[in-house]
Amino acid sequence: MSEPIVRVRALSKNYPRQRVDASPWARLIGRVWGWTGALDDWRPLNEGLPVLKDVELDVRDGEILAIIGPSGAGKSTLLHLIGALDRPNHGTILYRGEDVTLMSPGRLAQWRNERVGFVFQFYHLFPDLTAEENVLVPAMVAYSVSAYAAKRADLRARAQHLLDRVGLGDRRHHHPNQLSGGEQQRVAIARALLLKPALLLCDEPTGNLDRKTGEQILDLLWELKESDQQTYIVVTHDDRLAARADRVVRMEDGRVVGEETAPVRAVIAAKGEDAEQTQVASVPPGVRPPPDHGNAGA
Amino acid sequence: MYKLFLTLRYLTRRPLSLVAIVALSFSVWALVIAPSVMNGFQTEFHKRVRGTLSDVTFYGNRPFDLPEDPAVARALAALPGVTAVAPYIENPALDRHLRKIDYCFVRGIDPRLEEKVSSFADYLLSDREMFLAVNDYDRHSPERKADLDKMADTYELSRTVDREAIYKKLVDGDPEDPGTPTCLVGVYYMIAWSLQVGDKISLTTARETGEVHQDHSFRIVGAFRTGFSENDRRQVITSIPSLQGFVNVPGRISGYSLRVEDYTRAKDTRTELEAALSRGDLGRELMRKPLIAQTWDERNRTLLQAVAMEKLLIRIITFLIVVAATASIFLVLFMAVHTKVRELGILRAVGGTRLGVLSLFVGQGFAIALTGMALGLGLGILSSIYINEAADLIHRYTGWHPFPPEVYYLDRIPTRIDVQENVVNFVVTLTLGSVAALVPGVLAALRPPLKSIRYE
Repeated sequence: MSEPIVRVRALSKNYPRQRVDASPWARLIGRVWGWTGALDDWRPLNEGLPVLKDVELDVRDGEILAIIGPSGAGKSTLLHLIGALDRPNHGTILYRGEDVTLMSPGRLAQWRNERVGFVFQFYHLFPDLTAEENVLVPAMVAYSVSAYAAKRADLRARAQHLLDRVGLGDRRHHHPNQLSGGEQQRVAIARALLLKPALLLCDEPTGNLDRKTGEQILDLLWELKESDQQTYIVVTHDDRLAARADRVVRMEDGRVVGEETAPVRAVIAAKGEDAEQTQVASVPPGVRPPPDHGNAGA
Repeated sequence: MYKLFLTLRYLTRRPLSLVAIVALSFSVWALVIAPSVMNGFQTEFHKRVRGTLSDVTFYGNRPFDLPEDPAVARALAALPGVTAVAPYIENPALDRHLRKIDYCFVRGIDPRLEEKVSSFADYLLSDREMFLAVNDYDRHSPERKADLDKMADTYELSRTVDREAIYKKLVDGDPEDPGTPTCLVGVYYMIAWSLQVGDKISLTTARETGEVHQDHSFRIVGAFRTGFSENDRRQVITSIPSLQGFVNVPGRISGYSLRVEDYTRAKDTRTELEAALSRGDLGRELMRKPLIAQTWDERNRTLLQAVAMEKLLIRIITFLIVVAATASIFLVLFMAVHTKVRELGILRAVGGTRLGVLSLFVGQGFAIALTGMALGLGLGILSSIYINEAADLIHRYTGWHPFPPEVYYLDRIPTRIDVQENVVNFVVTLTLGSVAALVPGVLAALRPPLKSIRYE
């Protein structure tokens, strides 16, 4: 394999937890200010809940890395930190040698736009936009009005191409509420791939889909990976997904505890017979998955 | 690109944005139409105040303090900017009609000089106007009006005012009743006491000596309508010698009315007058007296201030309505921040900046304010132009007259659109709209992307 595209070194993240002995006024202030995130680490109000503890990880260029582990192990947190959606308390994340944690907010936004694609468990599409417009959002963010107007034809062609590849070429004018869960996830994948990012970060991409649709999404991801040669980091509970990854990293209690070998993965794959049950278990407790509209039949 | 695209999309797909636009449109409409009607009234009011008064009035502290001296009149006429001078004398009186007693103000003038310093001549009524006025023409239905017009035609009442004839009767007396002093009365005075031209009124006054002069008769030779109900109800106009005889002050008058070339510079003339007075240009006798020179707006300061205050209050109230409407922008966008939390998170995840999210909301606020403002402004200007047509329509279909002509003696609702005022409205509303969007925008921008994405 080639050089690491991402190097994670000594990465720690504490989530703020309100101190039980904080005064009511301090709690109120914390709630109001905490909403904006400004006081997340304010010590008189919060005490840190360690979520990641000195994580070390290399992600090689062009590989599909699956991160597995029990709920609360810190998988998603690690993925969000790699995608710079959150800031670590300690440690570094190097993207091709550049420390992401030291980037200015503007540079970080540009980096996310150009280099990273996100696929989330709950798709997160813009309900007011059509499938094609949703796919085009990263390009709208990347370009000014005039630049976008100049490239509009090319960008629309690219969006159409991606929608064709995810099997939704004839649904591009449909709004998310007219698409099934699987179709929405495909639109989200097309959106993530529009600007050909080097890194695709998938947070439970099949976690909210039934087994058949989930498999279709996995097939699609692997197919796209084959043709575009990007690097995928996939956080998952789905053993079938982990079994197909180039490399699997297991996390427990905020630490990377080991790398699964191929034979172990074969065992994991064999274990995942009752995939439907696994699907249900993969939905975090207390979170009700949004209804699968299914009017288009994924 | 995304800011423009999403702003337009959210505006067109969210009914709440349309509600905010409509609310703002109506408030801006009120902000345009109410002051424009007030401006119209103010202009009309100023015109009338100026019409009944001369530009500068020069009078004494006591009722008959000035001598009727042609030299003083000449000295006043020689002041820079002065185009005409007319003497006047005035005194309150009691009038008795049958067994009722009321008060009035008797003003003695030289009508030929007076018409040069005020709009007195324009207020005189023709026989036809008098007939229609005393028969309450303005209040009647179109059918009754047609009847009155027909009756006026039948009686062959004159449509024109023979001013010279009226002046002659006022100064020289009525040939039909020689020896009786003559007068002109306001149209409401006529209506109140059921009088007509040729009738006599009986006035009583106290002279300077304290002696009460009772039941002095004046014969009505004409009527006037100034548009000020107090004038039209309480004023009796006679000649200067008639009033001097009535109050027994021969050769003395109350003051002089001056017309100046440019009424906006009346204050300069007043200053000149005061200087001339102190130099003794108007005679040594006048130097010793406490005399007062006032411009037309100074004499009516309270009244003009009241109108200006009324206009200001209406502006403040309508402005508060606009503030309330811009608050709806705040609410709409504040709700949008809460309902679009995840979308904002995704926007940040795909490379949107804090500033981008902020400008997305400020842009929406600005667009709502701009659209609402433009609609309201257009509606307001159209309403100002066609307000009379609208009032006529309402009158035709409901029978209710939103602007009864007899209240202000105006056939049409006066409006005046002040461009400068509306430019200020435009800028202020847009600024308010953007500021109202700033708070939700800042809240949205400060929200960490991960919190937005994880938001349930």
